[in-house]
Amino acid sequence: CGFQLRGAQPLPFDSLYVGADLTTPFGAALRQQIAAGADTRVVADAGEADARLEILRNNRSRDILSLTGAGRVREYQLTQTVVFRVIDRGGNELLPPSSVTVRREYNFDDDQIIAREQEEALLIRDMEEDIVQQMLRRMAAIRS
Amino acid sequence: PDLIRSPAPRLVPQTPAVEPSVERVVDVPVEVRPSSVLPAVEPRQGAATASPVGGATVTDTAGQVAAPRSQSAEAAGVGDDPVTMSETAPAPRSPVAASPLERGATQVSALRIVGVRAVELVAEGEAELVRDSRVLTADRVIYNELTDEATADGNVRLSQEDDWLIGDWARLIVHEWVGELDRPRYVFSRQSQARPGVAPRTIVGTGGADVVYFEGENRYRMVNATWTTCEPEDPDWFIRAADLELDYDREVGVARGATLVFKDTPILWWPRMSFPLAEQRQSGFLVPTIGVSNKTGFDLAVPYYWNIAPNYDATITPRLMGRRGLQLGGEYRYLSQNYSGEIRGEWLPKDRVTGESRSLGAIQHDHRITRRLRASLDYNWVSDDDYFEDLSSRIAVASRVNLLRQGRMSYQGDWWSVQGLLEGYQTLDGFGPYRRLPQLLLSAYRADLPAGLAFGFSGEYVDFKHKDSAFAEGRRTHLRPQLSLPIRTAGYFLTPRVSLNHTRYDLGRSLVGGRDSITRTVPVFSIDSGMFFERDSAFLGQSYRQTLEPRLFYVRVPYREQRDLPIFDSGRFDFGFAQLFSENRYVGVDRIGDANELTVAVTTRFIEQSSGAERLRATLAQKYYFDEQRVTLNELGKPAVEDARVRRRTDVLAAVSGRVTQAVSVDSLWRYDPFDGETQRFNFALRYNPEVGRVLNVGYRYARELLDGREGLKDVDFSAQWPLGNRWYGVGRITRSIKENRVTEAVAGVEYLSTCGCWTFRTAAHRFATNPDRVTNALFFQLELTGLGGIGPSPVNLLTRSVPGYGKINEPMSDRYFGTD
Repeated sequence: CGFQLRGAQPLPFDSLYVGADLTTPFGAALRQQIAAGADTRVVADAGEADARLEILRNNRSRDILSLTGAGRVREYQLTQTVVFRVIDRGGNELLPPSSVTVRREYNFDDDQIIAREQEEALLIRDMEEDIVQQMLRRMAAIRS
Repeated sequence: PDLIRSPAPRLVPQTPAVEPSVERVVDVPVEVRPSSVLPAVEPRQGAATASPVGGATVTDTAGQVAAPRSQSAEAAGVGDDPVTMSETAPAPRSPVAASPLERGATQVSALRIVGVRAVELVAEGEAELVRDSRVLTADRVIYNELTDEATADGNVRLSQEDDWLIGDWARLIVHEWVGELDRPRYVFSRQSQARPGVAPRTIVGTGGADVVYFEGENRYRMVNATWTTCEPEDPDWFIRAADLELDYDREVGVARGATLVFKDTPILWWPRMSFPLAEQRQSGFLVPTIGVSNKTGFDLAVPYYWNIAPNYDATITPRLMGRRGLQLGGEYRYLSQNYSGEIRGEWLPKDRVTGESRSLGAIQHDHRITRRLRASLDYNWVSDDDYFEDLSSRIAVASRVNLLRQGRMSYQGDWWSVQGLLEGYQTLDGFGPYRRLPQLLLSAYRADLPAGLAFGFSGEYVDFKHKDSAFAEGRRTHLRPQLSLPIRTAGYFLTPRVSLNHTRYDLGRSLVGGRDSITRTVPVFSIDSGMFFERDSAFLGQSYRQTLEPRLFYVRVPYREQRDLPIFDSGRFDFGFAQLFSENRYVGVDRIGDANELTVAVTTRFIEQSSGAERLRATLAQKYYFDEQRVTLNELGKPAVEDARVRRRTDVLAAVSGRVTQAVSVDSLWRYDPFDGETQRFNFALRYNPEVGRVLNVGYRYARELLDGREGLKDVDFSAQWPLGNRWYGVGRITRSIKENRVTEAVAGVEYLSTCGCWTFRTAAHRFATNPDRVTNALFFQLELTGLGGIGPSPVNLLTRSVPGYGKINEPMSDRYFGTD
């Protein structure tokens, strides 16, 4: 039915500076995925890079999705939005500010707060991986 | 005296011919240029010389003067061709664009100019004085070269870049921008500071006064003045002040004896009020928030914002609650390179309902000691269990049950990290969670071992405490080394992984009939694999890359008896996609579920060719069990909370989410039990959002049963924001629990955006359950005056949360700036 095994999806620049805190799981995942993906080198010095990835915004919020009749939280929704852009050496935008939003939801129970926090942490990791994948696809679509 | 007169009219050269002169000591010429047809009759005098180009006459005086930018007068009179001008007169009044004057050069033009060299120029009839971006026009302008002082009479208009003032009479030292203007009307424009993610806006302040004093380039002081961001003619609201100071260096307005007039009605009075001129942070009283709720009665809060320094601020909020009395709240925030935090407090000396003093305290602090070493503190406290329910009208707060008290320190190495935690809670309802005093964590990951191997380790030591003696207490040590061999290409991935879970419990207070010291060792093997296929496809006229991603995930965990282990921090993972691909069906390590199971899933995505943006994603998954379940969350000596699964195959899980068209998005999840032919869970959300201010959401949530046997749910919700016409918008949400036959939450409100866009009115009523038979009803009002800055806990927060896709009607650009998702 026309499907073919995906080929390499190189990013249209040889080296990239990743403007995210690499000591955070998100920054580390971003760097790792870019470095693992193709021929693009991730460089530590912004001045050496052909292009710079800038994270303009990275917000995560937790909202009440539903309440029990007793007014306790029954479900939470996690929403994370990352707004980013890619600029070249001259500061020209290769990719204008673009946003990726992902959501996850989970059941909550105040009596199991520690367990639910661990679940939340797992979901956050899952969301961030999802965001990184979507960011990579956006960057791969840049026409050089 | 030396008189300078304009010569016979000639054509005005586009580039003013200002001839350099040896006599000029300061390179700031004044050029005089009559702009119209009247022939000057007096003969030219003084040191004027005729320009060969356009007949411009330049007169030099030996300039002098302290201020280098302003003095030294050269007067040149240039007339226009009478024929040309008689047809096109009057000449355009803004020569700034047309004549690129030298920086600092002054040009005076008028129908007739009479001057006393180096002393005074009198320009009459459509007189105009231009220097850099400053332009003064009037019926008559007298300009003194020595003092750089201009006096203007009749139809005075003064402008500087985008700012301008008009009035009857003015006296102004042009360079210093010091002087006064009688009976001014003014328009000052400034851009709000660009913040990441927010488009800068132009804030236009306008008004009038008896007199305005110019106090330097960006400062004005006015007597009996008004200020508004509305249209200058007949503004809907304005601030009227006996004394008004506008300081565009600090971007602050200060009004003394100020009245806020809305629709010709004075609504508020302040002895001294300061307000932001360009929407930036500013000390002063914020606009009060007004509400009514059944818990507090009439509720008025008047926050005072104190902008102490760029990196710290405070808000002090006296709050009057009709039923309960006067509360004082305070919040202090600070931010530095390496740390940030917030301290909050609330104090109600005597609650008129309970007769007691009630209070709240909270501290949050994050500290980056080095780049790798961080510490944080989060401590929350309230005086009594009903505090939030009684005193807060906000659902996110009213529903709080466990208040965190936590100190944390972590160190991040290159491939390893450690963390220490002390954590407890103040519990307002229920038996409360365990305290972790302390928890120590060590984790490590190395992906660069020989043969492509990756090594991971996590270790945890926790001392669990519980205030209720019915709960077991004790120390738990958990060590988990793991080894994996990830193979990844663009087309497929394969990750086999082995790990060992070794856990030791030393119980101080054990389960009934249980032992005090227990060890458990469980090996885990898993293999995760997937492939990525792609093809080009078209859908609704757009070209997409469609992916097909099959994934297989196998887990093998041998059975170990775990019934005698207490449940400290574990629970069942909510059944969803994340759970399908996790090695343990429980969160927390008190139970490692036995498994011999395979998850089969396939995902397809539609990715926009041009941008790489994911538009739609659909997934179908199912899990096959090859053995029966033996490990459960049940504890020795306690009632069972989980029934072991008997079936070999789980439910089918299907999900579709994405933005189907520009306006329509869906998010749905369906969990179906093919064995019994039952739907276990079904969530469906549909959003129609054609533009900002128009959104419709329909949602349905069904769960047969929730975690750990808790009762299921069946909720419908509907929410919308929609124009009602005539600049009115309706907003609302209703969530109904069909199972409990009860509305758990309802919001209804209206918004009005004024024609001029300079104010917005919002009101919203909010009703939510706080208890099986109690509700909180609250009513909020907000009048947002554009440009007066961000205003307190308004209904906007409530509406943003309850109506997904809600757009602030007075900020139509806010969502579009980054609107490419």
